[in-house]
Parts: sequence; structure tokens; C-alpha cells
Amino acid sequence: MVRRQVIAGLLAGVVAATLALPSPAQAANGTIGQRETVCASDLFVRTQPVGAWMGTLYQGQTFLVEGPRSGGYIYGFAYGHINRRGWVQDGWFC
Amino acid sequence: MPRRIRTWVTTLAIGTATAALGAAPPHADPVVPRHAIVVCQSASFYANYDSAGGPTGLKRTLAYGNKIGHTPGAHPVYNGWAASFDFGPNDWGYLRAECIGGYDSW
Repeated sequence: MVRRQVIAGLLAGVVAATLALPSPAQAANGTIGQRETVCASDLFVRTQPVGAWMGTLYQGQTFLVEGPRSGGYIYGFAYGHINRRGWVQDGWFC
Repeated sequence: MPRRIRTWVTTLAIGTATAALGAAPPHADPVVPRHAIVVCQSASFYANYDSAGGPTGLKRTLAYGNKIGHTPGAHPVYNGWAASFDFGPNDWGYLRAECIGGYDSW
């Protein structure tokens, strides 16, 4: 009886966590060759994967995905108020 | 508190914590800026440096002694404008490279 309650509780926790997570449909990985729109409120542009900050793209601004990918980051051309190439964390495009 | 309610509360707390971790904003700060200060009497601090048009998005004006961060060799400098971190508000931006000094003084 107690075990069933614990399992039910765990399931409820997992459901609560899943519902609270941002919907994966709202942000996705970039497609190489596409000029993607930033869905995050702000997205740091870095000199290299896990590198130094060089600029910030804001929601609605665009990033031309050129590749390659490395360590969760992707290389490309940052438009917005940057207009140069750099690396952004992948997965924050509309 | 009855054991059943305790179990529910604990489980929901774990679920909420998991959700909070999953929703972390997209910026870890891997390159920690080296401590420095503003050495100009005043220095404009801009949100970005636009390669097509120079500094853009004035955020605020920094004063002599304000605590900032910049790591020479790691954080870029474009046409004399240096990518810097403003400690206090804790945000990134660009200010004139000659206004950065007093490295490791605090």
C-alpha cells in the first residue's frame, strides 16, 4: 500500500516537472544553412565554444547557422547588433 | 504530518527543483573576467559592438573606480572597444579599452 502511494507520488512529481519545463516546440536546434530566429530572450555570442562573451542576440534577432557544431555550441553569423561570426549555444532557435 | 502527505510534498519538491534546473537560462559564464576598475572619469558602457556601425545600445555611464572585468587575450577588443563585465549590475557590454586599468586590484 505504502509502496503504491510512493510510486504514485513519484509519478505525480515527474508529471509536475514535465509540465513546468519549457515546451521543446518553442526552441529547437539550428539547421545548417538556415538563418534562424532567436527564441531565447537573450543569447550570448562567444568567441569559441564555451568561450569568451563577444555580444548578445535578443529575441527576434537572427543568426545564420553555418556550422560546425561543437560541445553544444554552433558557429555562424550573428546579425542583430553584432554583425560578425561567433558561437552560440544551440537549441534556442524558433 | 502523515507519512503519505510527507511523501507527496517531498516528491513535488523534487519535481519542482528538476523543472527549475531544466529551465536554466542559456548563459553559463565559462570565461571568468579578470578583475579591473574604470580608470576614466566617465566611460560609456554599450550593450554590443556592431561590426557594421560601432558601439550600440548605451546602457549606462560608468565612473572612475567602478568594478569591472575584462580578460586581455580572451575577451575581444574591436577598434578600441573592449568586451567587459560590469560587476554590480552583473552584465556584459563594451567600453573603451583605455578606460580599463587596475587589474587584480580588488
